[in-house]
Amino acid sequence: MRGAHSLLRRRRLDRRNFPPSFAFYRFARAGFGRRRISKGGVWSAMSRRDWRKDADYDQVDELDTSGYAWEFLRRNRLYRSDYQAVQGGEDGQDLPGSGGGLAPRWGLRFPGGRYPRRGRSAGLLVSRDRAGGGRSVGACAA
Amino acid sequence: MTSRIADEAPIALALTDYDRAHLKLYLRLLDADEEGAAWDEVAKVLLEIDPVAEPDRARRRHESHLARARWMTEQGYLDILKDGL
Repeated sequence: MRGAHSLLRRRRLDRRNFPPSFAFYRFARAGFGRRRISKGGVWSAMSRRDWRKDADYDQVDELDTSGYAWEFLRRNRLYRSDYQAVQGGEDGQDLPGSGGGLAPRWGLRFPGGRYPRRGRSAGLLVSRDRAGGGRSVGACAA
Repeated sequence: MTSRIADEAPIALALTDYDRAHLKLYLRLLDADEEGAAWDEVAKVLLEIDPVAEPDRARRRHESHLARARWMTEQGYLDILKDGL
């Protein structure tokens, strides 16, 4: 019964595109962590993938909207330095000198309130346009 | 899978169908750039063009697609979130 229940649950949630697909979680685990996130954190995962090899990007095909959005956002150098600046801060809400916090600056909000940390999962990634309605567009996890 | 690669990537203000068909290519271009890979190698491997035989065209193709890939990291990702894939 558990299988049927989770299937129904998935279909209902998929319509809202939230939470992200299981494939994305698998991808996140494989790409970001391999159990242990190294010193470079989630960013170093990018360098482990060889851009020359098709196979290294096979899992990208399984990404949903939030997964793709996250893959692009995390390749933004400014975002990465913003992210690193707030790591260790108060849930990423108070980027020094930004006057508004990390998430609004990038057109996002993170309803989960917490940025991905080692061994933790799930800060929700939501387009700011939709944040007001409380409707989650997607999520990122690490 | 990947549809044909144009010489010029889109410069539209919003995400296009061409972008949607080449998202993985954009990611690989960004990773190659991050690694500091030579543009001619990237053109040959990812952009289906011979940089020796057609250097100008290959360079144009590389520059315009990398520029669009960077745009994806600044604006395009929001379009994905708002409008879907």
